[in-house]
Amino acid sequence: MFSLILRTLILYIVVIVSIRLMGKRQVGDMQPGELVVTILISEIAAIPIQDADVPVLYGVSSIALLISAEIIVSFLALKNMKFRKMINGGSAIIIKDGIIDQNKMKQLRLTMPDLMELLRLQNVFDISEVGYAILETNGNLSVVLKPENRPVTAKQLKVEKEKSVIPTLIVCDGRIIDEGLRLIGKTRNFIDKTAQREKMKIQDIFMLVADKNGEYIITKKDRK
Amino acid sequence: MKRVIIAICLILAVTVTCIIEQNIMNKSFKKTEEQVEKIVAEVKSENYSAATDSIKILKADWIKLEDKLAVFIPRRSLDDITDSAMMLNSLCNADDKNMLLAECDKIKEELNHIKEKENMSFNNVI
Repeated sequence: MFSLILRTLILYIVVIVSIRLMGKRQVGDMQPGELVVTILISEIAAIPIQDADVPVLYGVSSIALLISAEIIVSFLALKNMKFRKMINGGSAIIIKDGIIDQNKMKQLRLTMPDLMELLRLQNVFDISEVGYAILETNGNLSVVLKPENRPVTAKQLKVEKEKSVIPTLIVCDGRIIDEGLRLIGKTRNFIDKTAQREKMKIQDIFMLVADKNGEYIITKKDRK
Repeated sequence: MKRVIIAICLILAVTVTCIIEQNIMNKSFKKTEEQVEKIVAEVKSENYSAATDSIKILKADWIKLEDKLAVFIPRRSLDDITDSAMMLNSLCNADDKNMLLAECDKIKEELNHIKEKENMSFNNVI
C-alpha cells in the first residue's frame, strides 16, 4: 500500500511538471496535438498506478518522451510556417460578407446548427451582419462584423479616454503581495495608509485590489 | 528555447536510461544463463549435491537481480523465473532429473523471451 502511495505521488509530480512544461493553456484553447498529448499523459500515468507490476519508469519515460516531442514540435511550428500548418492545420473563412462558404463547411464537417451556435457564442444572431467568420485551428470562431454593424468606438466618437489601468491584487487573506505592488508602482506604505484609512489591520484584510491611480477596493476578513 | 533544451535533455535522459537498462539486463541474464547451464551439466552428470549448491547460489543471486531488474522490467515476467528457480531445489532433492532439466530449460526460455521483448527490434516496435 505504501508503495502505491509513493508511486501515485511520483506520477502526480511528473504529470504536474509535464503539464507546466507544455505551457499555460486551457483545454478549449489547445491545438489538436496538445489535446491528444494531454489525454495520452493522463492515460499513461494511470497504468503504473493501477498495475503494481509495471515499473514507474515505464510511465515516467513515456511521459517525458511525449512532452519532449510536443515541446520540440511546438518550437518547430513556431519557427516554420509550413510546419505549423502541417501540424496544426490552418484557419478557414466560413462566412464572407454574410455569405456562407458551403464547400468549406463540408470540408470541415461543420453543420449549420454548429455554425449558428458558434456565432451565438460571439453574440451574433444574424448571419447577414457578419463581415468575416473564421474558424480557428483550435475550433473557436472569430467574427468580424460588417462596418455598419460594429459597435461605435471611443475613437470614432472622438471621446477623450483615460489611460487604461489594471486593478491588481496587493493583499490577499492578510498577506501582502509584493509582485502586485511592483506592478502598480506602489510601496507597502500605500497598504499601511489604506489600512489606516479603513481602520483595519493588514491581517484583517481579506482582499485589497488597487490600481496605479491609487483607486482601490477593500474587503474585510469575515471572522465568523 | 529553455523548454527545448529541457526537452532535449529529457530525450537524452530516457535514451541513457534505455542503454543502461539493456546493459544491466544483458549482464544479469548472461550470468543467470551461465549458472543454469552449470546446473544442467551437474544434473546431467547426476551430481545432485553439486547441483543443490549451484541452485542455492542461483536462487540467492536471482533474488538480488530481480529487485534491480524490476526497476526496468515488469515484475510479472520476472516472477515466472523466480517461481521456476524456487522449484529447482525440491526437484533436485527428489532426484527428478527430467523435471529438473525441463525447469532449467524453462528458465532459459523465459530469460530469452524477456531479452527479446526488451530488445530494440523491428518486431517489438510494430
